[in-house]
Amino acid sequence: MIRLIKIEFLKLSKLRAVWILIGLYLAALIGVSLSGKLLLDYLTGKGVEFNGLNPGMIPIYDFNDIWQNLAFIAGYFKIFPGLILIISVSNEFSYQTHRQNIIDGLSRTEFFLSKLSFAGFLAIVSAVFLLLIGLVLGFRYSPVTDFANVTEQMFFIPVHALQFFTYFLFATWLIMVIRKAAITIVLLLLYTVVLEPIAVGLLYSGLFNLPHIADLLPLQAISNLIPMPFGKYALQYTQDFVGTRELITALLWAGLLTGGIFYILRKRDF
Amino acid sequence: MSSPVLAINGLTKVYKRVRALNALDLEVERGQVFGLLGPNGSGKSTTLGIVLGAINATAGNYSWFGEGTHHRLRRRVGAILESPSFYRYMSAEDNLRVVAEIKGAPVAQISKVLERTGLADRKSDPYKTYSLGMKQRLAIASALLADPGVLVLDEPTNGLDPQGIAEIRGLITELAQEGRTIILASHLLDEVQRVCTHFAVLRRGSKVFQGSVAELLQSKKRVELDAPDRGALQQALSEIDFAGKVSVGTEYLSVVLPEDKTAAELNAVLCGKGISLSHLNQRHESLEQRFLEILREEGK
Repeated sequence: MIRLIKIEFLKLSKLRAVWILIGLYLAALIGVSLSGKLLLDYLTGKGVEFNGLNPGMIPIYDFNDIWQNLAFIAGYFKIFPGLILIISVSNEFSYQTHRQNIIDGLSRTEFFLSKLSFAGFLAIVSAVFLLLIGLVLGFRYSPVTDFANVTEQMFFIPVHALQFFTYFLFATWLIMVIRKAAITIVLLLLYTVVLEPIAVGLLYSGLFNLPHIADLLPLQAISNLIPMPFGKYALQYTQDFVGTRELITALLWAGLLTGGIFYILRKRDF
Repeated sequence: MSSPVLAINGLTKVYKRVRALNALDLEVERGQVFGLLGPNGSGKSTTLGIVLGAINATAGNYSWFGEGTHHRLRRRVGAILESPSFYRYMSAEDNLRVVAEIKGAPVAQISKVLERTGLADRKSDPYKTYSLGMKQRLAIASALLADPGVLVLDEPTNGLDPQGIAEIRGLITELAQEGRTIILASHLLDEVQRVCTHFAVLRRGSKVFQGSVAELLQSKKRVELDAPDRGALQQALSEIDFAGKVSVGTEYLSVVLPEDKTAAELNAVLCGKGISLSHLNQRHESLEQRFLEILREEGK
């Protein structure tokens, strides 16, 4: 497995776009994480109040809230590392190097595993970044820093890795089917921003009233892993755990997409 | 007896409507330079694609080194199919690092094969800046990386200028002299004639001919002749050192000449020996004519 990740790393480390995307992702993550505090302080300075609360007092960085807050925010930026997977696979197709890899002695399963393990590697790297940002910001701003409070909600970090991994599988499957990077990226954006939200909206609405079906759609299932946490600051009920049904749905998608990618790689002539 | 390097049995590939390969049988023995000859679309690349794992066969099987089809066996084969395939944004050296990792070849080999293919001084430049000839040489460098006993080359001189073609052919000849088995697909007869020891002709996915190049080249210089006194003619021929094996037919004798001798020279020497011929005919049969003949026959 290490060998397969190494092959993927050799292929991608010389590609500037990969480093730019990783840089953009990190910049976005750090930028948004830091600006949360800045924004709230700014609002306080302007005399804004939420239900009589001073916005600067909202404990977004407190252990143990911070883990869910970070994991939720990170979900908005998954497209950046997702594009790395799309570029990686589409390069193979356009250079015919997937074929040359096989000819040189890689099995189709090994080729599949090298892409899959790289997706896993990226998801873990992202989780590690999130962990570091969380620890830095938490120890800087949180009034409580005892072990129990720091670690209590930390399970959102591995769940974030699962969320990203499943999303990467979705991106990889899409490029495997479509084969052209530009079309895939446009379709992915269209589906993410327009098609699925409309479908989810309709299914949730009184018109269809099928929220369970909406939650089965792939990107919805991936997002549902980490519920929106900010409602609690407006004193609403907010889910601060990962639901079993949501977890199973996401795992099913991960399995289905893995199977789909594997099937395509086994059956197709290169 | 050792197993053939590559054995192909009943290999068939059917695309939606086209039968690209039709029950092909083929054997390549160790040390042969085997030419796979045929017009474009005759199934050469499909055959190589299947035995190299890139294309799934519809029916039939193949075996490398008598050991089967496992992907690890391909690491002992150096192969390039159609156009050279590398990561455009990476240097020659970095591209070969990927191949070395796949093949499990020592990294030290990289500089050796780059040296051998004359790319050492451009090894750090990105692949996309290479000329077609350099790309083709890098493909051969990549095929040589694991120092394989078998090389598979698909149209290796395609699109090259005359100098590039000469270089690649020289390299192939050199590699063959080192005792490597080479499987070469080409639609260029001249190429096969120059470098191959054995060959098969494909047409519309079927094998229509298989033989050794030497035999065919021999028939090219076969001269039929006769004289009133056959015994004296036979005696005279046996004294001429450039005349090859004499065979006695019902109507004529026939003799094989080396490439640099002509029927006229033979005639002159025989005259000097006091033999006047009643019949002299050189059979002008080149590989090309034979090839076209084969294709014509099959086309009927």
